[in-house]
Amino acid sequence: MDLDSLVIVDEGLISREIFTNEDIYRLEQEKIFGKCWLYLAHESQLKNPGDYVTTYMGEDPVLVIRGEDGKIGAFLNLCRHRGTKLCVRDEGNSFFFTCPYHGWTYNSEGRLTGVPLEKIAYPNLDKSEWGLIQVPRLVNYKGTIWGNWDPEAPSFEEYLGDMKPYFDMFLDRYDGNMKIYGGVHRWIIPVNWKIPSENFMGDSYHALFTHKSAVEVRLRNPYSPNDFEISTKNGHGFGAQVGGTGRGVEASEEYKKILWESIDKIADKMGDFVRDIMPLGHLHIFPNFSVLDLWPYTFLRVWNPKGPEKTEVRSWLVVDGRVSEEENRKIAKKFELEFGPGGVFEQDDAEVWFRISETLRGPMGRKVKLNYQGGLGMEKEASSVLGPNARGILGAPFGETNQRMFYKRWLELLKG
Amino acid sequence: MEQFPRQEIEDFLYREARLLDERNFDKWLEMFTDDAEYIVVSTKFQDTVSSEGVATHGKREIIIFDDTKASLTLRVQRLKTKYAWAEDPPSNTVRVVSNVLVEPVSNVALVFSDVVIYKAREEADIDVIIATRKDEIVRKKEELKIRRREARLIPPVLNIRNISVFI
Ligand code: FES
Ligand SMILES: [Fe+2]
Repeated sequence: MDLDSLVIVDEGLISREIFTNEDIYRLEQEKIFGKCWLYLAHESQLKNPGDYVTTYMGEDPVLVIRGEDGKIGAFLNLCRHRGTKLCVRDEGNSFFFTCPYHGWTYNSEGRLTGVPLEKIAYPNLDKSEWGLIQVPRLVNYKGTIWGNWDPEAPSFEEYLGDMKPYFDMFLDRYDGNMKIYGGVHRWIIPVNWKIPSENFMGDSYHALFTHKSAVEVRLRNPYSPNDFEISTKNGHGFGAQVGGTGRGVEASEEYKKILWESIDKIADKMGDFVRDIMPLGHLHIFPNFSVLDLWPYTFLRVWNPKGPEKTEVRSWLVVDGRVSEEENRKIAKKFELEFGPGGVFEQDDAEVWFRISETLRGPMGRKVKLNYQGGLGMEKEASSVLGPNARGILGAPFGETNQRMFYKRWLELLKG
Repeated sequence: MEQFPRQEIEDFLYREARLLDERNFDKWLEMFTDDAEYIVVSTKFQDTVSSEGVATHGKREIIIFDDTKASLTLRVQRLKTKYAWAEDPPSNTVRVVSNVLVEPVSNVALVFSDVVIYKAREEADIDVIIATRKDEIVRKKEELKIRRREARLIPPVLNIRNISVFI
């Protein structure tokens, strides 16, 4: 397959084939989800020994658990005997996992500890060789847990590259008090995983129209033309309205105070531009992890591929532990009104994405090259505009530089 | 003690379903008290261990809608804009309400009911939303009103792209 003819980044042309082709999908599983750092969990979900969450790395189910030894580990969530899925709960606490098929039991460090009738049925079994398959690389980056299947992969910090100072701004703001609030929302959208990913990476443009109803009912101020998009060369990116999306919406004094204090602290270190770009708005770390960081609330996302035209959304509201429970409940209420399967923003996103899949059936429709030319050639070094500590490339307002850089990285990895 | 004949409660729920299916949202809003709460959750299974080390297998609720009458009104206003794409064109829906149980508790009727919502749109497959509901229904000046609704969706992972209808 001539991938170069499908993704022509310099001209801003992308073939629709990449959103539906089975071979490309399989290649992605191996070359992207098998090689990139993938978001697994937040530390606040794994406070005590035995605390676990289950998730996916690409199409592979994984179990992330704090072992009895206090260390966090991640394992392929399947039994070594016949491959039965071992843990079918989203989260919980347990020191052992027993397979429902023949009863093999594994402990919280992934070791095989129990085999029924072992002496009779498996007299020569070396149990130490049949523990759960461990994700070889795992990092706890300021409370966010990431895994990588590739033993040769660069460190997570290297992987972040120019995104690091921005991701740090986001995480440092919480000063270690970030926590997941209210569990995980999970639902299925019939669309390729790259469509929501590129949307969260750089698509301020769609807000003007897809989410126009939110302005009409005064959930948002009219979108200002004062938009910025920052892309890093390795496929990550973020962007927002200058001053933070949703600034001016109601928030309690208590919440605003904590927010401003932390922003000021970071601005003192990094420069004044920080006050204009925080909260960071839509942010994406290649390949499938997103954040939406707004004035009223912040959430994390993973877009799990489930086939060329199917994505499982996982969404977690994060709150600041220094904010009172009462205020966090209000923040959660607002989040649920706007995002999640019933959110008035997200309902419409899912609808337009679904309509993209609807037109991929025919041989003509899937061949069409799409226009990714927004702001093409208008990029500047971010430091030349925002100050010496800014990294990455600044795209034109409402431009598509971030998306182009996402597909550039995607192409490099697929060909690699 | 207030009387809540089951026939009257059932008629009330059927009328509600019909108003929603006919997209008469303003009339539907009038069926709620001004201080109403409207909550939709999905349910997950979870293993937990108490501080004494006792394992329990329990359920955990994930909140999807957490609305007041004001935010429900805002949702309805949004549906009336020209930009509510998830309902443009409007879905055809049928709500089948069943298994109604009424338990009067002083001046409130605790009403349990199950609802299956069929939502049809354009060429998309029909979405089926199944929920079990617990309502608190009160009488205000002779008329029944919902003071609190808690709907529990059956699938732990929603196999639908959005919930653009009321449950
Ligand atoms: S498949 Fe797990 S014990 Fe046999
Ligand atoms: Fe959106």
